[in-house]
Amino acid sequence: MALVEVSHLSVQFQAKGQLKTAVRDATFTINQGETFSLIGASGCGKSTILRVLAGLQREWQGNVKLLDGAIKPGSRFQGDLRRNVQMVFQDPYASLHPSHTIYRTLAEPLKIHGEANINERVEEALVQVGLPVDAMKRYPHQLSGGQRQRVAIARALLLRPKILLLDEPTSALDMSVQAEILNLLNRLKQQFGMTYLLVSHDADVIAHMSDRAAYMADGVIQHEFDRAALVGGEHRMDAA
Amino acid sequence: MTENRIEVRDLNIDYPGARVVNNLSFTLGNERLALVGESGSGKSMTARALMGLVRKPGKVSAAQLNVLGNDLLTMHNRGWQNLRGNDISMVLQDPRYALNPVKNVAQQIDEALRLHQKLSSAQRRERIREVINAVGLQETVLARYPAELSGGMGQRVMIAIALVNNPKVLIADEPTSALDARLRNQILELLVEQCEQRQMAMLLISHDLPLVAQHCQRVLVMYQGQKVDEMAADQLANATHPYTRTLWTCRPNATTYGMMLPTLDRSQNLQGDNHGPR
Repeated sequence: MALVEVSHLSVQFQAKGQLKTAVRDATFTINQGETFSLIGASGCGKSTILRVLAGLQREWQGNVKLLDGAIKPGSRFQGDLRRNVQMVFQDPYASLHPSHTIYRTLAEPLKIHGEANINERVEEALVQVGLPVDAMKRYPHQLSGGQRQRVAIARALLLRPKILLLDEPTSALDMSVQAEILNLLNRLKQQFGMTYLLVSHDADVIAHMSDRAAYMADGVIQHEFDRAALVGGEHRMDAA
Repeated sequence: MTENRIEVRDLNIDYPGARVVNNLSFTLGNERLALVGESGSGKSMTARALMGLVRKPGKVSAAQLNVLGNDLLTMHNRGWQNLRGNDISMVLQDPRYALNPVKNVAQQIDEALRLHQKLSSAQRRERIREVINAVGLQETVLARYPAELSGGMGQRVMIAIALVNNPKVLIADEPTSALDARLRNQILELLVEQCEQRQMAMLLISHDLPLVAQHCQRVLVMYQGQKVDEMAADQLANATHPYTRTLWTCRPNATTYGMMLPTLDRSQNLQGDNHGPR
């Protein structure tokens, strides 16, 4: 079952009086339980697609269906979409509020959605991502980069989303911490059957994580790769 | 590898409340040595100690700390000025922060030349042209400002500044981690090529063991301020130390699809029990 259907998506920005096309005519689908990846050099438009699917970039043209409902350009996400689509950002140093404790950061989405047992849920989420429970009393600057990224993932997972959008979740991290985060994502996927859309410029991370991948350049999806092509390293054509 | 260009014996770097480098000893001849470890393992602090850049309240102490025959422990400002940027130079992680935003590329390279050489302006121009070509950039880049450079170009400019005085030792502190995967190998190949051309030794600092192992002859692995392993780069596949093994194998690839990657057991004491609590 297709959870995400994107067809003929285009995004344009007004920059210095001229129109810049960040994404041109992108078409792809993501099935339930799949990890689909976008790969490409910086500036190729892959993060822009993610921002459209997260409802952060509301100016676009084309057809996008998320969880069987069509979303419209220019309008905010309504209802269950707000819960079912969550995003993890690239920079763990910038994506957490510096003057909120980890508890406040994690409790906020639960309060907004009127959930019960907030304390237990926050504790459970921290344990899930391998952090000690007393980390919730700390502030972001008292955690390392890998720990912060875990908090960001825990926050995205608290509402049990169906789709998780991952924008370079490990590119700011050490190689050994990256392995821990990727393991965590794969374990959670097995546990909850989530669907991932992963953006990365690291061909090795893509090959490790993805069921399918697409290569983007200049705002256009150039190729799609299945598992066999990823094993064969065909998605590395930009690495030469 | 006849003479030792860097000799470090029992180096300690202390901050109030924490010892960030503990009893580190190594030597560097005319070779390429990789210093590998996670963030917080003390590898950058070691590099800073070699450049005299450990700020207060940090304290450097050692039985021996020697660069090209200079004793760094007794060195004063004048001595540092002669050494730094001349015989030993450093390339930093992120060109967006390390370059001066209000000077163009030519001015920044020129500054390094004027501080260390007595050359006419025509000679300096010639040297700047040579070095910018050596790092694979066009001469049109010279008039640009750092904001007008891409990440890879900025990193090449930093390398040009470090190379312009023909140093005997180059310290590269994570020179590729701010770059796209695609650019990493290009920059490392450039550094290796320049090392060979100029008979320059390199200390390459990184957290990516498989990447640097391709470009260095020897590898030194640090964990929590201590050297835990040291070996020839081509022997890494046979490494026995658990920390080195994890760093060597934790890089994902197509064959690890669907499997869990090896990670560190951080509860395990990798140094043995003789160093006390941290």
